[in-house]
Formats: sequence, C-alpha cells, structure tokens
Amino acid sequence: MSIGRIKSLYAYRHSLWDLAVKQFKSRYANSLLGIWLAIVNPLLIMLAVTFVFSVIFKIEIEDFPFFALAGIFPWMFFSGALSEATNSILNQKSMLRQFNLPGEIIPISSILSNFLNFLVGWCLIYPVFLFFNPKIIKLFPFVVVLFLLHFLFICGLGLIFSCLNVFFRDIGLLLGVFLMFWFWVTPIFYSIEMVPGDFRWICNINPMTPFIVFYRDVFFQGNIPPPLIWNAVWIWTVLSLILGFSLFAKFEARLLKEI
Amino acid sequence: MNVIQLNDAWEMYRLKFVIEGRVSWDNFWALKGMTFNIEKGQAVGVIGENGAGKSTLLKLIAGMLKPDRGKVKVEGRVCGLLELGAGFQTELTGKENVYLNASLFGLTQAQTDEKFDQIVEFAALGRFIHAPVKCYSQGMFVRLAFAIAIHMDPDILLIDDTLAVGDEHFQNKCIKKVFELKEQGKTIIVVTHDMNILSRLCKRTILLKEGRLIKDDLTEKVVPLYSQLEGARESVGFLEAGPLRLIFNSGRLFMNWRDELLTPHSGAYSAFRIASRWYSSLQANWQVSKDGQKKLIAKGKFYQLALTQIWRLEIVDNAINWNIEMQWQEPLQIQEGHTNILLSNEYARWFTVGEKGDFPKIDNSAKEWQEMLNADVLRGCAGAQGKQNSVKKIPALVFEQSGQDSCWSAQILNTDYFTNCRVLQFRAWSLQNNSASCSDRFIYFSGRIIVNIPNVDSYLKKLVNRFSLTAGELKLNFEKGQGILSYGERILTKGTHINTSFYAQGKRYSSHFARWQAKKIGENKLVLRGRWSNLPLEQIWELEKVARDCFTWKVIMKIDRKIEVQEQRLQFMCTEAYGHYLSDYGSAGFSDKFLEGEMDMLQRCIPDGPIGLFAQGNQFPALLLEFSQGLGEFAKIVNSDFYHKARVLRIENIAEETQAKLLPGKHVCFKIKARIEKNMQVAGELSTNMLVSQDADFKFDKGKGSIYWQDREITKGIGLYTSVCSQGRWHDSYSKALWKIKAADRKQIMAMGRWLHLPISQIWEVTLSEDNVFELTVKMKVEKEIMVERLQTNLMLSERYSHWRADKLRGVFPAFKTGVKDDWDCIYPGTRELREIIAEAEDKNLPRIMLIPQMLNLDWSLNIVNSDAYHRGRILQYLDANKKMVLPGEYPYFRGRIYVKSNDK
Repeated sequence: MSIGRIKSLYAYRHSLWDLAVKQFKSRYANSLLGIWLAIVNPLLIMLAVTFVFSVIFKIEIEDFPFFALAGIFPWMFFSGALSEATNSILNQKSMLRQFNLPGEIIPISSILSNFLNFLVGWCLIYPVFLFFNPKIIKLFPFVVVLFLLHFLFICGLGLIFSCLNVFFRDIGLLLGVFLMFWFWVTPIFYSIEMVPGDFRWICNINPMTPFIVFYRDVFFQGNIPPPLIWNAVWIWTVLSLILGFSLFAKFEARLLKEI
Repeated sequence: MNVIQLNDAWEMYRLKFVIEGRVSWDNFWALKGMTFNIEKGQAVGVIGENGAGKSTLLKLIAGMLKPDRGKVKVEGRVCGLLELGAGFQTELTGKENVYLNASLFGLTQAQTDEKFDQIVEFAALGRFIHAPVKCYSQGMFVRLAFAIAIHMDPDILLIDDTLAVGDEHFQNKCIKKVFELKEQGKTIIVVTHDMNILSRLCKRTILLKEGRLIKDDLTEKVVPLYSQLEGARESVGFLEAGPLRLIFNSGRLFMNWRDELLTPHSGAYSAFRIASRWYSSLQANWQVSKDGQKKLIAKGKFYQLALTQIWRLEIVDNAINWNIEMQWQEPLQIQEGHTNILLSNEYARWFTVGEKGDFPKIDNSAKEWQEMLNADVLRGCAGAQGKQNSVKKIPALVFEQSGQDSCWSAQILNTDYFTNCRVLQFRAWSLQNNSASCSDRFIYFSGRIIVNIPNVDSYLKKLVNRFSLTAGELKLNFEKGQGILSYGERILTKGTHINTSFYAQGKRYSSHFARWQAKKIGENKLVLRGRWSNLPLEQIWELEKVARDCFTWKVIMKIDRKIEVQEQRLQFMCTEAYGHYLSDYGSAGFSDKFLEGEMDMLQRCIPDGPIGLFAQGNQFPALLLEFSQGLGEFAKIVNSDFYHKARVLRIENIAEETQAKLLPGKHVCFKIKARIEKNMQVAGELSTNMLVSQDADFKFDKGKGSIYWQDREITKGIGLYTSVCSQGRWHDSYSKALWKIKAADRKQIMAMGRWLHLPISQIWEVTLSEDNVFELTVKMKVEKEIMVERLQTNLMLSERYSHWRADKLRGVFPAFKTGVKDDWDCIYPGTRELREIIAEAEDKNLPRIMLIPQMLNLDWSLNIVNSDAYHRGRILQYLDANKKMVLPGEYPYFRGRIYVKSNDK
C-alpha cells in the first residue's frame, strides 16, 4: 500500500516541487533581508550560545563558535521543517478540499521548502567553514548523502506529526516546548563526551544525535564519520519513513473528514 | 461507458456534541447506500436541501473523501469547482497561482502555457494578473479561480453551486462555458439550487434527502418532486384520492393529477396585506395534522404578526375544499387579500361565467403579472383548461368560492416571464370591516378547487342556474351582484353584465361589491337583497317574469339612516354583436371602433318609448327596455371603451338635488321592463332629419341645426342653437337638452327638446318655405315658475365669413380675442329698429346668410358677435336680455327666416 502511495506521490512530483518553490518564495515576499534570513537566525543563536558557554561558563572547546554553528545550522532546519510540517495540513486544508492530491504532498512540500531554505543558507555559510578548515572539501560527497538522509528523516517524522496533529491538536501546541527540550538534550553546543556516563543513553537514543555528530564531522572536524554513526543515521531514516508513510496511509481517509 | 460508478457507498462523519459541558460523540451518516452510474458525456444535476449530502457526494466522486462502506469508482481526471480559490497562495501573484493550480490539477508547464492566455482573458483581470492575489477583490478572486478550474480540461467536471459567482455578465459567461464543455462531451455533475440552470443543463437529476437517493430520473420529473417535498417534515402533508394527489408544504398547496404536477411553481398559496406590507402563507411556520384519510389541517404561525392561519383541506371526489381561518391575539387591519393558484403554462385557455379566452404567450418582456379580465367586475369562479386538441390531457380545473356571501372576487392572470405560470386568483379589498367585526377568529376565505371537469360548458351552465329566472327563452341569472342575460344558448350581456351603482359619501358603490342574499326564489319572481358593509342602506332587486320573453327589474333602496345618494344607475352591458341601437330620438349603428379609455356616448333619451339594441341576422334577438317616467329616469346609449368592447344601455336617475337626500324607508329607483322582440323589423331608413333644397340643406341633430351649401357646411361648431340663461348659468339646446324628432318629412322637421336641469322644453319647427330659405319657429313650454335672465337664438357661422351688414351698416369681423374664455365678443349691438343682419364672405363660393326675425317685440335685439378663439365662429344672434319670472305656460320664443343666397347676386 505504501508503495502505491509513493508512486502516486511520484506522479505529483512536479506539483510537489512547485508547491515547495512557491512556499519558499512566499516566505521571503515582503521581507527586507531576503535569503540572508536563512543564515541570520543560526548566526544569532550561535552568538548567543557562544556568549553563554564560552564567555560565562567557559567551556573548553576549541573554536567554540564554529563547533556550535555546525550543530545549530542543521538543527534549525530540522526544527523549522518539523514544526511547519506539523501544522501544514491544518493550515492548508483548503488545498485538500479543492484538489484531489495525495495528502502527503502537503507536509512534504513544507519540508522541501525548508530544505531549499537550508540549502541556500548552506551555500552562504559553507565558504566560511571551508576557509576555517580547508580539509572538509574532500568530504563533500558525504555532505550530499547526509542532506538527503536528513531530509528523508524529517519527511517521515513530519508525516507522523502532521497526521496526528489533525486528530490531536495538542501536538501542534506543545511542539515548541518539545523542540526546545529536544534541543537541549541533543549534543549541539556540547560534545557527547562531555555528558556523564550515566546519562549518555539519553544522547544515544536521541535520533538527532547521530545526525548532529555527522554534520559536525563533515563541516567542522573534517573526519569521515565512524560506521556506528553511519548506521544510526540510516536506520533512523528508514524507520521514520516507514512509520510515517504507513501511519499516513492508514489515517488519510479519516483525516480528510476531520479537516 | 460508465465513468462514475457508486455501489452502495456510505459516508460517515463522527460528530462531537458538547451539551452543557459534557462531551459525547455520535456517528452521522452523510450518505447512505448511494448506488448509481453515470455515463461518459452525461450532465447530471444533484438537488436536495441543505445537509442532504450533495457536497459530500461530490467530494466522494472527486476522491477527496473515501467511502466508509461500498465502492466508488471514477475513471478519468476529475476537476471539482468545489471551493473556489481554496488553492490560492495569497502572497503569490495571479500568474504564479495559475501555474501552481494548474500543476496541482495535473497539468504540465507546457500545457499551462498554452492555456494561460485563455484563462486571463476569461477572468478579465487585465494587468492585475501580475499582482498578488491578496490584493484582489472578492470578485476578481472568484473569477480567477473559476477561470482556472474551467480551463483545466477535465474528463469529469464537478460544480458545487458555484455557477452563481460574480456579476450577471460573468455568470452568463460561466454558464456558457459549462455548456461548451457539455458539448465537448465532458461528464458534468452540478449541484445547484437554481432550477432554471438545472433544467437547461441537465437531462437527468438525482434528488437526495437526508443522505439517501430519493429519485434518479429525468429532470422535469425530479424538480417538481423536490419543490413539493423540500422543507421540514412536520410542515408537509399528503392527501390522495384516485388520480388526484395533494401535497401541502409550508403554506403551499401542490396538486398532482396522475403523477403530473399541475402547479409547478409555488403551487397554491394565500397572501394578505396589512398596512403596506404583504405577508404570504409561505412565510409562516406550519404544523400539519391529519384528520382522517381525506382531511388535513395545517396551522401556520406568522412570526412577524400575532396571527395564525388555519387551513382546512379536504378532498371530496375531485374537488378540494379549501378553508382558511384567521386567528389572532389582537385585531389587525387586513387591507387586501389574495389567494392564488399558479398553474402550469400548459393551461392554454381560461374561462369564467360569461367569458372565455386564450392565455396569451408570456414573452420575456413580461415583468409583472397581467390580468386577463376586467378587474372592476366581481366573479365567483375562475377556471383553466388545456389546449383544445392537445395530445397531452391535462384536467380542466376551476377555482370557485363557497357561498355567495363573500367579498372575494375571482381573477385570471398570466405571471411574469420568469415564473411563467397561469394564475387563478381570488382577491378581496374591503377586508377591514370584515375583520373588525369578528373578535379573534373568523373565516378568511373558503373556496373549492375542482379538478378534472369533464365538460366546462355544462359546468358553467349549472353554476349560472343557481339563481335564475326564466321567461320563455329569455333567462336571467344572478351572480355576485350582477344579472346575466341569456337567450337560448346565447349570453347577451358581457363584462359587468347588468348591475347597479350609485354615488354616496363621496364614493361610487357598485352592486358587485355588495354582499347579496336571496330573499325569495320563486319560479316567477326572484328577490335579492344586497348590502354594502359601510352604508346604512340596502338595495333590493325584484326580478319578475311578466310574459314570455319579458320581465321587469325593480330596484328599491331601503334606507336605514338619512343619507345622500346621487347618480343612481342601472346598466346593461351587452355583447358587441349588437351593432345597432334604437330609440325615439333616432336609431343608428354603433361604430365598430371603440375609443381607448373613454366611453362614447351616442344618445340620451327621456322615457317616452323603448330603447333597445338589435343586431343583423337573427342570432341575437333585439333587446328592448321600457322605463317609467315618474321616477326621473332617463337613458343613455353608449359605446364602451376599447377595454370592454361592449354596447351599453345606461339608465340613470336624475332626481333633483332636494331628492338626493334619501330619508329612511323604501324608495323605488328604477323599474325597467326588458323584453325580447324576435321579429323586429330593422328600420332600413333611419328617420330623416334633413331638409334638402336646391343649393342649401338643413340638418337637425339633437338641438343643433347645421346648414350646408352645395354639400359644404357653412355653419360651424354648434351651428343653429338656442340658449337659456337662468341663475347665471347657460343651458344650450345642444348640450343641456334631450331631443326627439316628433315628425319629419322633406319639407318640415318638428322636434321637441327637454332641458335636463330646467323645467323648460322647446318645440322647433324648421320649414323649407322656398328654395334656400328656412323658416324657424321655436315655442317654449315652461312647466314650473322659473327665473330667466337671457334667451338667445344663435346661428354660428364659419370663420371664413369676414363681413357683416346690419340694415345699411357694414363692417368687418375682427380677429378673435384670445384669453376671453367663454365670453362672446359683441361687435355690433343692434338696436330695436334693426330688421335684418347679414354675414358675407369674400369667397364667392360662400353664400350670403341673412337672418330676418319676423316676430319682434320690445325686448328683443339683433346682435353681431364674434365667438371666442376656441370656437372661432361668426354669430348672428337674436337676444332677449330682460330678466324676468316666467310662469308655467307656452310662449313663442323665436320666429324668423334664414336666407341662404348665392353671393354673386
């Protein structure tokens, strides 16, 4: 069943792309900064985090601002995409009333538009990383794979959240707090080694941990990520996709009635 | 090939109910067991009330909903005009939205490029297509959405009540486009409340009610069913008897005959006016209760008024008794009321007592309802029937009221073009007295609808015979304050038939608007009593058979309180087949032309001999009326206006002013004898009123003499006339007296005229004493002592007469004075010694006219006068200007000669 849905989704790939592009465009309509907004947010957060942890708490990490930025940047993509996807069906229910579309298009297009935003930001910020650590140029193929997997991971999660949000509006309302909590338990401005042994499991079961570690490796440290991280990223992505699509397929009929 | 297949499709919604804080969930089935197929290229309408499941059905077909049970199979690309503009991204421009929407509908970039111009043109957005959609007006927004949707080239088009978008122009464009798509063989499903569009667009219609498919059939069969059934269940009721089925629905009454709806529009309903507002039975909130198989009682509460209408409906054989009762908390003033039946336009002919006709076609210029009948006449029934030799049999139908005692009158109408129906109507005006007299409930209307009358003629005959008097072949039927006269099979009267009227309290009252009761119904005598609701009097009609083809008609006023009554009238309005009239004052033919908007009075007669009407051939026998002298009656023979197209005999009572105030008691107003003269010799030669000599002729006509010279009139206007001035008012022989020719031959005319408002009569003798010389002798008879100021004998001549002579004196007529109203301009006041006065013209063809009085006394004088600018006549006048009291007796008035001599001598 899920295969069939993916097929029909494929048939609508043009629409999906159009929708995402239109959303991406309307995001910057009437804005002064335009696409620079894509990097302003992460940079501001980086500054704040650097001030708190490097100046006040004096964390012993070399080049802390870049260390933090390498995590914050993908996290911003993740949290932005997920929260938009979660509300997307409710926000754009009129689309589903007007067009006979596979419902998945709506959350996925939101994620895709965020992904485009992320890519633009990345293009602007990558030269900085490159300047700082020219080694990372060799890791570029890994970046491509990582981006793809990260995107798919968010898609699966987005489908689950957007679908459940139709039936339980609490999800959308609690999402902000939930994401903040998630932000703090993910090793973004600290390294996983800094976490005391008793609590390290929290980091280990957190699906975002391997992604952030991966990102930091390919942007900041310039290492090829260890296989453990590789496998974790793969597994989380596949799990999230399977769960997302099957859940959506199961509840779509009911979902259409609810909106 | 079926492109849409629904097989037992069910659709459920889970609804959350919050009742006083307690939450409960319930399953609601929006569609139940929907099964039907739609073939490719069909246009199907879906109708039903709000919440019947129409939109759910469309969503199911569009694939936006999945059925909970059963199967829905749709082949081809579906495009739904369900929520216009729902897919717009408001931040983006119109153009970007076109591309986005097109891609969502499944079109590629290239296909959209191809259609883009058409879409922009259809939406008529101009340069706004490049502006963000959020700046659009509602109309632009909707236009763009519709334009996109309709250009997506779908296989199946779903339209959910969206055809009514935008202004009228755009609506038409949309509808046209939908028709185009239909032509192209697209499958179209339309949900609409506009039955007009529906019947034009869709052959097939599906009717939904409460989620179920009630009917799936041809549109013309489904729509009537829908209009009968829509509404709340407690306000709908059925009655059935044989082929007749009656459906009451929220203040409307629908009639079906053999499953054919006779009342396609709003059925039968009642409406009334309070102050300036109309209230219709459709506005009330109705509750139906059934009383047995054949009876139905419906109570309708009006929200705006403290008023309840109670309808009692009962089927008896093929008749529906319809009784409306009003009930209120506080008395209301109902000014006017209508009770209408709107019939299908297949009813082609109408009928009522004494009148019949065809309904004209309702063309598209008809914006208002159009009456078929003269509205001044009260009628007891209105009926309609189908085309004469139509294959399709629709039952003849009549709407009549129960009982004579009612202020309701029937009317037959055509509606406006959009309603396109025939209307049988009862209307009432003077309801307020009626309602005030009753406390809190009264019978407002009671009528009967008879369906399927086998023979209309025999029905009408039976109706007419209820109150009738037969004298040989002559028959008088009484109906609603009028008498209908017939001879054998022929109805002699028409329009208002025979009725009475009078003027009282500043208003004209007609017998039509009285409430009539039969006091005595005998074989030879019929006594009827009519009362007007706000007058202290009643009229009694005594109709009595006297002999074969002869009866009398006596009208008596019974006065309760002293009241002033004027202009009493008894009028016979007869068929235009009567082409001639006769009276002692001359007989002649009626003109075939009827004047628009005014009656053409042809003759006035005082009651000496009979007056009557006759026709060529023997189809219509001559009708003669004899009236009695003592009652102050006189008659008028009138050709009616264009509207009535009738011959009218009007008998008026010219009681003197002192007698106009009627004292309590009985007063006889009219006593008319009407009879038929079967073998009347139509007087071939009408009595002569011409004196013919060599060159000059004299013609007498009702107090006016005209002189002709070689067949050209040389007199002008009122010609030769006499005039009496009494108490400052002039009474001319031509306009103020009734004339009658006593004797006439080629040498002499003798005529008698009686003044209407003076106790004076005159006898004129005009004699042709020699060629071109007429001798006039006038004698005046005075019945009562009277004061007169001036007596005149005038000869008004053509204005071409430019010179005058008085004995030896000569003069020229000056120009007419303008601004001098009704005041002659005396050019030469003659002296007593004057012997003759002459008028001459420069034109040699005009003869010289000489007036030589032979009887001169001291009081008389001869004058030469110019008329006012209106008459433009030269006048030779003979005047007595002494004010005096004249005692009863006979007096010489004038004697003299008029010489008409050729000018060249």
